[in-house]
Amino acid sequence: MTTRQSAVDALLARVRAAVRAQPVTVREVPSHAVVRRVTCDTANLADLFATKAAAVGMRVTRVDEAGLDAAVTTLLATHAQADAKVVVAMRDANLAARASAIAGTRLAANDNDDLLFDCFVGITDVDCAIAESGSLVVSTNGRIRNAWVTPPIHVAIVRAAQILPDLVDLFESATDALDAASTTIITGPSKTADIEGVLVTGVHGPAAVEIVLVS
Amino acid sequence: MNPLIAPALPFDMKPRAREAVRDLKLQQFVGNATHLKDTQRGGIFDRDFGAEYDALRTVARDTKQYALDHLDELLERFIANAEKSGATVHAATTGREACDIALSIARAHQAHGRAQSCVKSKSMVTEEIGLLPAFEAAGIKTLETDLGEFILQIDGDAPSHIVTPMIHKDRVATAKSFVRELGARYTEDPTELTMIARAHMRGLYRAADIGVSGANFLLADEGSAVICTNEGNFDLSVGGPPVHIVFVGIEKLIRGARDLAPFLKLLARSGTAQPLTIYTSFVCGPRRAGEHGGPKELHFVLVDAGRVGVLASEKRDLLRCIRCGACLNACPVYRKVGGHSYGSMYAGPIGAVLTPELERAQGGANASQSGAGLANYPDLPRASSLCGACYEACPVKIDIPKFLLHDRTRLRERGLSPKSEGATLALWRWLAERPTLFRMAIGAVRLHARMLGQKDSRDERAWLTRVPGPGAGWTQSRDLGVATGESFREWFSKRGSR
Repeated sequence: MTTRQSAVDALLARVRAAVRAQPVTVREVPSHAVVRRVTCDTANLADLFATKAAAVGMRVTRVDEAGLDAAVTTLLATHAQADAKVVVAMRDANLAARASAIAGTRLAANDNDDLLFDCFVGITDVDCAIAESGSLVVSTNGRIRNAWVTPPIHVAIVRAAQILPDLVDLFESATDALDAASTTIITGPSKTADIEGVLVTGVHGPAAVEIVLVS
Repeated sequence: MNPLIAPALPFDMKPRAREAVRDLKLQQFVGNATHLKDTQRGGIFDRDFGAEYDALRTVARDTKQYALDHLDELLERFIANAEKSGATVHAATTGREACDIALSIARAHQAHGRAQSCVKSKSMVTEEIGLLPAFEAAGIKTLETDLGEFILQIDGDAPSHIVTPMIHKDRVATAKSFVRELGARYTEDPTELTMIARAHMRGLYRAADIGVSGANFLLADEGSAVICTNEGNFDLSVGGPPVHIVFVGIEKLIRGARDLAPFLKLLARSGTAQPLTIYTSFVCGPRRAGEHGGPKELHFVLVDAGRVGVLASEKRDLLRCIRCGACLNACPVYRKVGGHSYGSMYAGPIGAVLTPELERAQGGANASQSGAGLANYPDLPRASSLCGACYEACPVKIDIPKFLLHDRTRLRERGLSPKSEGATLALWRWLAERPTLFRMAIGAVRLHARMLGQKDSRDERAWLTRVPGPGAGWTQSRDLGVATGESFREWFSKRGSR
């Protein structure tokens, strides 16, 4: 047995004894019904999601399927100069091809670990989104890790059908988002208020998160 | 280790508290910031949970207590699932052991010419075990990536708040440090200062050999860790370097993602009045075959450092703490004396009970004796007005005042209370048993207070700024309001004759 293994076993043994040293006060985990704020019956999840996402400082552009490419093109033109590198990290191959075509010659070559630090914009799709908090859920399932946090601008494409009512649904639904090596729930642009409580965005992650909401 | 959070023992809180109270800038920063956060916390819970806020806290309390009551099962499940995901799990009884584990991981990479530099995400447990000094001593250059912690690091300062570590510092101090340490041009603009730090750290992220972080939750079902940040520094710390080490206290375990929602909904609202932290990141194992980015090795170091002892004690409830910082913001004493007065990385009400308890549980020979840790921190149980604001603010309903009272009793039992406390209480009891004398004594005190009291220009009340004799300590750092109008006894006897 390795030292590591015996240390782990020793900890387990001590925890076992410690648990028994006091009476068990809670035998069952209580119902989490009160935790849920938004249900599936809520009239328009897309509206709620858009409102909440805006409230935490993300920008939402609403389009229909036909308007998607134009919206992404506009956002790239707004944020990135002609020579700025763009990384596309999509699980949806079809979307990836479309976004890559829009990025054109600015598309970063996907061949080294430093790639992300050289990019100005990261375009991703999402595993799902959460209406209650206006959050995006992005995992490494089919995506380059951290494409949503390293470049200064994150463009996220969300389809209305991907919106879950409540955070509770992320943990109860059948989504495989949490099976990935890494999953991040994003609720706003990177932010700090460490210096005298003054809010500053873009400290490590993106200063701007642009959501394209496709209905 | 930094003496601000790891002072010589036994620790005397009074000089630090006196200094903090005299520091007008600190009074202003800490007072304003905590008051604002406390008000905002109330506001967001009112808006989002209304009358159900208390029920939500009860759910969180019981869910976490369940985890502690079944921690052995959960730990076993976590270890199995984490290993299944490809992570390596280590266990450390002491802080020193935890550091040694990390150093041996680093040495394995030094053999391959790496592990000279480390990027570290904010973590309370790494402060506790003294990881940074251990890494620096081994020649591993370590960067605190949380902006507040970074500024403290370059200044040789220490955190004074669990959530907002540099609450005691201002932009001028930051501006000067950046000129001195980074060669930056002088600016007091928080946005510009933040961007200077960002630019400085980007290159260090790229080059780092090891990433280090804590964790807010461990999920037994999934074998993964959950880390909450606002800056995104955790994601960058774990994404780049080939090795990542998560240091985590064993009390962070819950059953799994199925139990996570109440805590996530409470944590950021309680700490900073946000619905969720900007980034809630899940890490499950190292990078997988074909994946781009992420650590090739993921290590969990499960830290005891006294926690098993607390688990076995009547203070098990303390391990429910999710480190939101709400009790610090709500506490009238913390607001006045600031975090460094507590002589620990855990300041405020939760620190006042947790610090002596962790110390007791790690205390070797005396470890089983309740009160052994208190001898090293005799002031902490008294650093409270027992107003109960901490209990009201706590998202997992830890009854902190109950534990503070418990500790005060232990102090008395062990003869660690000041002699004046016993004498004052004895005098009080003697008087209270003699009604005529009691009335006369109270009357005399009232008369003297009115004679000595001085009108304040701010309001019409009279205040005592210096009480003579045994009461002198009380007015050393605060004024005592003089009671005006009729006494309770006068009022009561009038009411009786009506």
